[in-house]
Amino acid sequence: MKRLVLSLFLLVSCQTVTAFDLGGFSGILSGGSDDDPDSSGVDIGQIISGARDISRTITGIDEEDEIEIGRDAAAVLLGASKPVDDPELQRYVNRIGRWVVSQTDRPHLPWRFAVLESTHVNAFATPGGYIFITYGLLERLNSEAELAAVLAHEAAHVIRKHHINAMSSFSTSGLSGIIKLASQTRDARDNQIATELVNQVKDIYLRGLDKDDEFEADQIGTIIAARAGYDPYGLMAVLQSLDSIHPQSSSLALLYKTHPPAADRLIKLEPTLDQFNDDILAQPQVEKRFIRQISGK
Amino acid sequence: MKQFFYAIILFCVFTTQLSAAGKPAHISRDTSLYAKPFKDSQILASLPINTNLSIIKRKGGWYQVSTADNTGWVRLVAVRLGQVRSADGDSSTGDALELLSGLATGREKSSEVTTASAVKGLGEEELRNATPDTDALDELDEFAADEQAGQEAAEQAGLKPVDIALPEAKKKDKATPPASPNTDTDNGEDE
Repeated sequence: MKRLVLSLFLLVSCQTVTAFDLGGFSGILSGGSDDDPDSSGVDIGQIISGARDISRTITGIDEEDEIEIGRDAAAVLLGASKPVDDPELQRYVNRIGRWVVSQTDRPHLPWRFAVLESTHVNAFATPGGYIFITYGLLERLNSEAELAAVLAHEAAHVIRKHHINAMSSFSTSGLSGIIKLASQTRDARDNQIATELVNQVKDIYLRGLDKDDEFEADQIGTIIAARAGYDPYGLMAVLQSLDSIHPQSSSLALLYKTHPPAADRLIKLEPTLDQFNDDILAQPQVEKRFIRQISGK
Repeated sequence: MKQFFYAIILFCVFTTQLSAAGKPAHISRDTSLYAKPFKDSQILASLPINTNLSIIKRKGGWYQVSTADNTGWVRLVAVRLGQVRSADGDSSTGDALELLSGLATGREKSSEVTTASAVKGLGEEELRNATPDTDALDELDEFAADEQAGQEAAEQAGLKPVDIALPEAKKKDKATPPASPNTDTDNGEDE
């Protein structure tokens, strides 16, 4: 038995080394050689950056990169619409958002939530945990369960790295190119975001994600909101509201350009809701607190 | 003339209040009207597609509704908000249907379709022309909540976490075609 465990361990170790050999490990060996080919001394900085390289090799991107790219993307979106000047409302949405994301598998990200002044009906997420909801969407919601569902849908994009995947598949330089651009921004003295990165961010948010990523975010978002103790029909109710707005309404233009039609999303979401038992279906909508907080505006 | 004018205003106020009593909606696929919000409860009537009704309240996946003849419960998924009328009398063609009232909530403005200029911020044009705002980004920290603040907000509202498994990450290439909107009329209730 012991031998079996040992050989399994060896097998796993071999596979790990093989994986490193494919790129990351050789990355460490060649990491510092560009600057100083003769150097044979140990450089902690190189080891750390080597460790990040390994992490990137395994997962494609490390969390620090993800957060950096997300900050840059969030700054671009904030350049198009400012947060509503209502500290009480912003704190409320942050508390609810924080509770919702505590039910995901990435609760430790530096999550930030904000209500934006925009009267368009929409919500956005950027990598690393920035989540925005427009005032235009917020004022159409009827309960905290619906707010939680919208935030959970966006959080699902973050935890499943949908935007990172989309950026890397659309960018000509791939994921490594975007990581490089984000690190240029971090190192820039004036904190200015590289123009190429700004353009790539705009491109992704104008183009939208893959349809299947949106359906997946609906499904996961509904489950996250239910995990947080809310009425699981929150997102269904929001999609029904969207479905009833005139499709030619300019307030929906960007949302419908970047998302599947609400009617399709409602149909796709049905099986997810069928799996819930009566206890989950009876979870509260939390209407009173929501109305009180929203009407405070 | 003045009296006529007042009568019109009174009429408008009256009809606005009427519509506020229940949310106007219609049936989007053939379904049944139930006595209670359960699939095994008594069926009161069958509701064909495009039946107009009014939503009284929601309970989980069910709406309590009133139709022209009845009050009962219908599955949420079989209902769309807003009422419909058939332009040429043929209610079987979706294209001929016109949304009489797109009231999603009482707060919605009916004139929004024509007031494009009133919609501002984070539309396509604004995003295309956006200059990154890192100051606004830094200011978000001021309103951030920590895990404890989130926990307290949940407790205040009596929200209890439930253990439901999150689905596994999907394979990127396992794309399923989106369901056609035309297929949802023939499987209203799958009992």
